[in-house]
Amino acid sequence: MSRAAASVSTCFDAGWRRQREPELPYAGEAVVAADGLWARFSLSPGDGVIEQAGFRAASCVTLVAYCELLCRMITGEPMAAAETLSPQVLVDQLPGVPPVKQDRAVLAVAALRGAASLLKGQQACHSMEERS
Amino acid sequence: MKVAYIFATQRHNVSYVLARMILPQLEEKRHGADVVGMFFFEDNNYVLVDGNPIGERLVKVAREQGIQLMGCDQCCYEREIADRLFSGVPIGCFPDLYGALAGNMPDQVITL
Repeated sequence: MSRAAASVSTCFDAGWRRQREPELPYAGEAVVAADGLWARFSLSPGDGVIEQAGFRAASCVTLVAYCELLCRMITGEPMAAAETLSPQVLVDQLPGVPPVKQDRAVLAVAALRGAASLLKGQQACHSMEERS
Repeated sequence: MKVAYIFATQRHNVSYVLARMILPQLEEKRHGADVVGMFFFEDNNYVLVDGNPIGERLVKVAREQGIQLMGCDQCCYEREIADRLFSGVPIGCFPDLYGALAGNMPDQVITL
């Protein structure tokens, strides 16, 4: 899995720009936290891997930075990688976030898993149709 | 009257207006208004970094008088100080600030 040398600030800037790009074909449901923060990922598969990842999220700098970092980490990785990533990995990879803001990593990972699960389900349906 | 201060511009605001006017008055309990919150933008956030001498006085008076201090999250991340602030001083944005002040709303918000 690629390791991004990143700071919250640089991830936020890149994530802000990434959010302006069109959504990718497989968009998961938005995951909404109790405080109203939300995130939604979209994925584009290719040859057994996640070819591209995108997201939309509430305008919280920490959340956007975590989502951007997830996109970087997951691009080019097998589908299963999206299911095994833990919020702690994000926390470890993005130093400088105060503990009280680290719960955004949980939200970001939940949103990514939602999109990955949707993609996996649709790919399974597709392959069943092909076999029958 | 309850007031909240937003330190939005840089130059002399922390070293002069805060450190030589507002803070001494608060320490002497003769500021003339109840300060319920202070929010810091841009380089003003350095006063909240643990160990800053003005910040030490500010945090002390804030704890004694129930003043909510908060640093702008984007500003702190940009300066890589978000995890170096005084204990108990959060970072956040407007929703966090309004949430923190919700139980003790100011009558006036003064931008400096």
